[in-house]
Amino acid sequence: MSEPRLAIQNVSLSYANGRGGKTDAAPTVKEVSLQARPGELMIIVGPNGCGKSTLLRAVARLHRPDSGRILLEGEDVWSLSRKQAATRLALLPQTPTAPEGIRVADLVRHGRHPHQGLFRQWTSADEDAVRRALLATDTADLMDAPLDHLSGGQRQRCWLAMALAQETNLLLLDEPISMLDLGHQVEVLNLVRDLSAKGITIMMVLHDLIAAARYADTLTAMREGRVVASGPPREILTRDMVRELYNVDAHILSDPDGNPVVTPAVGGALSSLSPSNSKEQSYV
Amino acid sequence: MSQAHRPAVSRRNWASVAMLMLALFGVVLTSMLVGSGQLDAAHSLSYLLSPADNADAYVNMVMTELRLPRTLAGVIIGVALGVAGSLLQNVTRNPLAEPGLLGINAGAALGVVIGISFFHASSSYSMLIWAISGALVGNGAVMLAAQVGAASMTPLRLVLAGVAINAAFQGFTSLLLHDHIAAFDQYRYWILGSLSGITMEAVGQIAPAVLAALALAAALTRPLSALTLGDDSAKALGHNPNLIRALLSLSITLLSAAAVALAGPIVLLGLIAAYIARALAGHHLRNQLLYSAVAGAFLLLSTDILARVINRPFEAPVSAVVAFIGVPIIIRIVHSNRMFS
Repeated sequence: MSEPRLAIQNVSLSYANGRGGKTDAAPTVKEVSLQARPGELMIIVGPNGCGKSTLLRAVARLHRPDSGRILLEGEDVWSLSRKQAATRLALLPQTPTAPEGIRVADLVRHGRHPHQGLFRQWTSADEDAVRRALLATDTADLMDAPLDHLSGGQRQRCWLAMALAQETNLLLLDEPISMLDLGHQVEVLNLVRDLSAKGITIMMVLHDLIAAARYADTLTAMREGRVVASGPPREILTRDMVRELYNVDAHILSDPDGNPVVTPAVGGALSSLSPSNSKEQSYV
Repeated sequence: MSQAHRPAVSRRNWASVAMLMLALFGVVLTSMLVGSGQLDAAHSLSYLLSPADNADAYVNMVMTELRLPRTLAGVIIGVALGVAGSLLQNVTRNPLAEPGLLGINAGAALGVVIGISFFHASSSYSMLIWAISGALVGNGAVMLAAQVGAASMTPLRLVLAGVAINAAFQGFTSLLLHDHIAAFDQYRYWILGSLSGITMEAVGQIAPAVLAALALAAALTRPLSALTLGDDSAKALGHNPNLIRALLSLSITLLSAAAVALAGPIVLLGLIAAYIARALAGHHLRNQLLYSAVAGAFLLLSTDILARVINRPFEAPVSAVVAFIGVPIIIRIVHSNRMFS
């Protein structure tokens, strides 16, 4: 196999560094190493505060690691300029905000910013990239609609279109389905899978272990800043792993395609095991 | 590819910009024709059509030394305040934000009072220098207070810092005025905010700063547009949010300081121009800035013309007229914006 598209090498960082001296239990990442191939869909799961979003934000260059390296096609992402980086990796933040009344096409056009300069104006290459992004996300019909008139799933597809218009090989998604109902979740996750099938490497943080197991090429489980398991879902998803991550007793079933399905056992919470996690269980 | 795909200003937009420009030309002309004094519109018009045939020294003086600089100043200040208001509302994501919030007016006022009280400043040029220095210090203090102890400057921090610094500066100003009775008269005239008495020389001194700030604003349009999507998105698009905010506040400060130095504080104008621009241009930032520039100039000049005639032969301070017109508009903004409901 050729070199990995994304290589996270022994990365550690503590979130508190950038946050004006706040010292409460901030999520940290400890000595994480991961790799992703071209077209791989890697989904990171773990309890609240396990560091999965922090890791994603480090790859997105929003937090600089204290140590370790993050290589994109062999180059350290922190050695790139802001603009260069934005042409090679795109991020969909957890709760993106848009100005009231912005139209879909105008939102998606922002994705071309890294390809433009102070005096380099809009070109047909930009136009083509935007059109491809709209088509790939099936949002071409919504082009002239105001973003705030759309459903949650449609909105998320439009944000994905903006990220796609950057024409990057790596796409980082921070809990893109957390605010959506089941129908819209499936809508967005199917789109994400289609994008990875086109060769884009996708690293996505998800809360939903069941959806993650269903869609991931590689499922990566984190706890307390460390990766506890990483691999194809049907190989790594075990009863013990679910218990280790969430302190939940669960059954691992198989769906008709052979993918693992996690169903928490009724009354299966093992609250006595780890008092520090008792608060988080209610969200799982 | 169809026209609808292009991000360029659409034909409809050009039509409304043309309408606004036409309206602006109308008030510029009216401003040259109407005054609070004795020179009537007919005489003024004949002077404009053939200045050489009207060698009357009085007419010549009124037209070139009073009305021309006043009209030019109205356009420059209106454009400056309109663009500053629009930039500030976008960067703070607050439809009621205006340059006064950044400590600019309070800083300029304190600067002027210090100049009058301790350095016997009286010429328009020295007032200019004191106002601009004060505005820069005031804005610097707000920026510093908003930044202290934070990884990044959020719009809310900026607003809170603005409120605090404004109060402190106003306190200093009152204190100084209390102790320097002589300064109070001069200050009172300045604080009223008026376009009268602006010289061509002062316009010439201020115009380059305004042009530089407008060029900076034009260069920042695209980064600011990304910033309205949130800091994370702006960074992911290759921008540097803190740098953008710093450069934007430089542009906003220059624009508002130039305006306050020329005419004294004219509050609400930037807010109103930005509101009109948003209503006409939608969220599209470049169009918003274009519209707010023209709307600002149009509004200021037309209210200034009103200020010349409502109380003839005396003039009303234009800032007061702007304030009266502004109140119903602000109530409307609050009413129509879901942010406040």
